Amino acid sequence: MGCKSTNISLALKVVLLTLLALLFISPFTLVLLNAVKTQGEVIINPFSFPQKIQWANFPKAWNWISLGKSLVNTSVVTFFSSVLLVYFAAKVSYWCTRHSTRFSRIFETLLVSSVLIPFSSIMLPVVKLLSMLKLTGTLWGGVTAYTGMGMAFSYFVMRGSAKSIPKEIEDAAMVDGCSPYGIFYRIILPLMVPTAVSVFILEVFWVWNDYNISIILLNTKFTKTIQVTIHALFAQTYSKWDIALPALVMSMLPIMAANIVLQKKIFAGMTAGAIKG
Amino acid sequence: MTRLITDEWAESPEVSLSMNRSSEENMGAKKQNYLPDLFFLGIPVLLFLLIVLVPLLMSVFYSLTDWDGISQRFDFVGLQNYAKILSGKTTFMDSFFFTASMSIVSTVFTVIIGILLASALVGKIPGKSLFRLAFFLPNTLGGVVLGYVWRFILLVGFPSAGTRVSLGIFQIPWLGMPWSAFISIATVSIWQGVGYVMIIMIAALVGVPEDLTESAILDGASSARILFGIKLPVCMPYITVCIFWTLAQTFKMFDLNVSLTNGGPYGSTVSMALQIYRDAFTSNRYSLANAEGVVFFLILFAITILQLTLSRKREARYGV
Repeated sequence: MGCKSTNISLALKVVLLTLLALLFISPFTLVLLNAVKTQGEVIINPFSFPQKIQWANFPKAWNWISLGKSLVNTSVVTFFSSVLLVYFAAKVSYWCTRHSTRFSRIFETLLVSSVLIPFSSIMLPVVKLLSMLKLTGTLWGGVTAYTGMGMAFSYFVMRGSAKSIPKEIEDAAMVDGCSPYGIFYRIILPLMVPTAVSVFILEVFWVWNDYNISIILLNTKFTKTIQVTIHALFAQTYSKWDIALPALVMSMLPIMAANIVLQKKIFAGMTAGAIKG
Repeated sequence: MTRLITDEWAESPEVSLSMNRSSEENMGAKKQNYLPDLFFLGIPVLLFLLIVLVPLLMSVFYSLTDWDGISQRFDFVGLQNYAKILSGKTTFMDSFFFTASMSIVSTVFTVIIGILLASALVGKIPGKSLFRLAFFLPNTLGGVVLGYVWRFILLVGFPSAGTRVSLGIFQIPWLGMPWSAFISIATVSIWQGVGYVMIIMIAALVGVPEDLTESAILDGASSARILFGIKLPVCMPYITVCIFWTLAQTFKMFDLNVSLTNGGPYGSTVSMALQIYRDAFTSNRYSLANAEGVVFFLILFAITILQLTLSRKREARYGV
């Protein structure tokens, strides 16, 4: 009897969760459904199935906003920022946890307390400094800003991994005559790879999705990112849904696919970030 | 070559200290060897100075002036910009109250719903990872994209549904009135944030040692009682992380506002970040925007300090 009642409650739970999950993704479903309809069909009934699937909406939207260009821009900025963030975070977390000096402790404290700093608080001077370095309006300006802004969080997550590496390994290498650089590249870095991969993925998602920094530093014709492009598209074509919706779908697809493939790594990275070192 | 570096290495402050604690000569050696420091911390420190610390100090500096961002000269005006902000002569205080209430409302719901989802998704549930994926999906997308997805739902989907079924919920202009726009933004923000809390809390709940719950199960306690009486109190450090993370994320809200309402109707949904953005780039009130930025920073800094103090206190008390 007891077993039966748990079965029923489990079935009930699954049904409830399924309904809730469907409700949760229904906005995406509706957008996807309407992305392959004509403008008229969208307006008349957004809940109907398309009479004929309008695949042509996608290339039309792609060309309308030159999505290819913004995809390339976003990829470049995202890739370089994330790689640099992981590399620097690995270096800083190793050095600060293992060879703390007064200098490194000051830096660590400043870095950690800046983890929540909002970009809006400092954007005006950042723009000024980057323009002095002739970096505004270039993708590298974006990479610089993302790397600087993301350092604290990346360090936060990497620190745990650096602390967990047994000191004996390092001591042994040192006795064998390995330089600190050799120790870092040959021993520490390989041991940090699992965490580094998680951090990398988290940063990729952050940079790819960010609007705050990109609207200020990358809002030019040549450096437009996806988020900036989508925003401009919706601001211009107020209700041209047969362009706006397919563009929206195309901007979401890469990140959704990555989400499905990398789910485990993403969750691992997020949990590591929450527990801290 | 390796040999040489090793020698330098041996003189680095820590190593030399442990090797030769009493020697006074090390003071000299300590000064010379900054090469490894430079190698490991050089560029990160430079980047931190360029993007975070120096801009912050510059922000404070400009906030004390009347500079418009363009002209050659400017004067120091002391705390005038701050007085302007706090006296309510600008709309910054409105944006503060909007942001604070939005942040509190969406944090409360995000954390509660996230915890409930997590507790439902721990244990033997068929299709567990599919459920996790579905609830987590909005969290991996950017606020601009999510905002425009919902703009379509609220501007086209809801009214269209309203002509078919006469349900009050479909007839409200969800982005057209201050209170309804508030609910809309809060809903999207909760929808976006729930996934994060769920993932963290799943990890936390899975980590609860079984011997803690064993005797309660034997005593026949209901699973709800076990969750609220035993598991969640044990997971308190994680819940704190979730609360503060969500609080900070919603305080910094910018892209959801821009895409959903762009601050409207009647400027009722302008978040602090959007207010600063507008003052800086639309109204050209450069020094004022810097002062607002400093206030914004102080609020988030206070949140950080509060979190650190809370978790330190707990560490001292429970050792967690």
